[in-house]
Amino acid sequence: MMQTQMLRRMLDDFPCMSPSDARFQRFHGFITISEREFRVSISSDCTYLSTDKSLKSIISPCFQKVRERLKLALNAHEFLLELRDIAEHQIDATRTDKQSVEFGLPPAQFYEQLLTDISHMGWSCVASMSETMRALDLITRDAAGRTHSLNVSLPADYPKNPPKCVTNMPVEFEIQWGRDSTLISVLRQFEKLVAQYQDFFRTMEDLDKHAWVLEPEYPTTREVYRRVALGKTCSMRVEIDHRAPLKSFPEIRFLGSEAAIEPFKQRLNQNIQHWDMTGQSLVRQNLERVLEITLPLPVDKNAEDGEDSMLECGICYAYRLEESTPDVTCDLAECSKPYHRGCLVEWLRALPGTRESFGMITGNCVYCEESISVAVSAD
Amino acid sequence: MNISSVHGAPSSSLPKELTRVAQRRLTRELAEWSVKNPPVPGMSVEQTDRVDEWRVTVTGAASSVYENERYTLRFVFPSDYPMEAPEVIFLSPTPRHPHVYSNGHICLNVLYDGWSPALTVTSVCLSIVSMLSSAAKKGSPAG
Repeated sequence: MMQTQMLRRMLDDFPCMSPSDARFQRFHGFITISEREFRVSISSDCTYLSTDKSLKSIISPCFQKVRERLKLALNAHEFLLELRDIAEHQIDATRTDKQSVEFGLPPAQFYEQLLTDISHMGWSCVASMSETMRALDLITRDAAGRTHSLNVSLPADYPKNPPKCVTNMPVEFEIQWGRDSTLISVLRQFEKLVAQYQDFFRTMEDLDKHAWVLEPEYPTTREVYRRVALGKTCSMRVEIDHRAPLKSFPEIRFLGSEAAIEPFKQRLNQNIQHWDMTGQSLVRQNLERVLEITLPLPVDKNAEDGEDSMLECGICYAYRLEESTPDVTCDLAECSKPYHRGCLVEWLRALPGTRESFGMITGNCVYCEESISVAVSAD
Repeated sequence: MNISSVHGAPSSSLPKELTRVAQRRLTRELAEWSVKNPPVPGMSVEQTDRVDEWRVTVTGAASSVYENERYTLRFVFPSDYPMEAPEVIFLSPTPRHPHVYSNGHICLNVLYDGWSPALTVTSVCLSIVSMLSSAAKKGSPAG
């Protein structure tokens, strides 16, 4: 079962990797890193890895790290994710470095200022840096002990001009830059922003921990929505107002067959006045109170595959296809088969008995033959 | 003419492009066969280095006229599988059955108009075994 799971994830993340034997001992194919494709073969127990020359030269500065990861990786899929991260990081770093070599290294004042800044902040704030020190990863810890990273690219005339920052925050991090501003003030501003979002992080963490989150697949602190399972065949998408997560009403959309989601809609309408906006309840607690349920937890990852096949598309057998997840469900309660809109439209269009009008296609469910209608485009 | 060598040859030497959906679905189906190995007693899938062409061995059902006889099926998957049915034939030696032609072609509606993406390699194999079982005696197709 573990193997099937791994395989499925592998194909989700690396569609161009294919097993080279029926026992899935080895995978060959291509992985995409920073919009370039590299040839890779790997054994599923991570004892063997070979890459093409260009990828080899990219990761060569951190061979040691790669080797360690290879030893620690649970399976080929996890390792390839790590490999991709490492290579992406290397490519980014060399890109910045190349630019500086082309235009010459930044002046001495740049390094003088930078080193002073870092010694003030403490080197423990620096997670990594590029060879020319123009790209830095800073980290900070919030009151609850979460780590947040701040990716900084410094201009050659720093500190005259502000650095460019990339964060994992749900909002754009806009820095205030004055004459005396330095990296330290940027970090302080970032810490302040992080502190303002404590309720938001708490809300999301609570959902991730106490609900079965279907989307995003790997939630980060950036995403403001979660799609959580309500039962085997229905789910809801909850979008949270990140500015006031505890004092506002989230946007809720139910997904599933009419029969399955109707009771939830009704309860939401009936009990809406019990939604606590005083800041005492987290979103998940409010949802459970208003919907009168305990949100289901994920089924055991090692459990029999049949468990989660209830969520997979009845045509392609995958849950995630490109960017889409099954969003059409058969309305017959006993069937409730989910489909990707694209898969169902493609199948129905090929059938003679299908009718298409005003952007809707009507045909028969692949499984129960009951009539099913689907909009050709997503909206 | 040596029939077995004709049957044994791959359907086309040019590897066709499987769509991403087809590739994933086939890998999923193959995984089921190798994990549960086999999903149905008496059936097995041969090791094959092509994902779009499988060989499956099936065994005649107990108390049918094909009891314990083993036959090999060749599945060739279209590039847009499962939107279209796989091409399934018996490899030589073929069973003598009113719906199986001597060249291995099988007259079974799920392989043509009756195909649906809800069907799988496993369910097609089961349909074929049950088609064999329904014959009261062995015989060749009429005409």
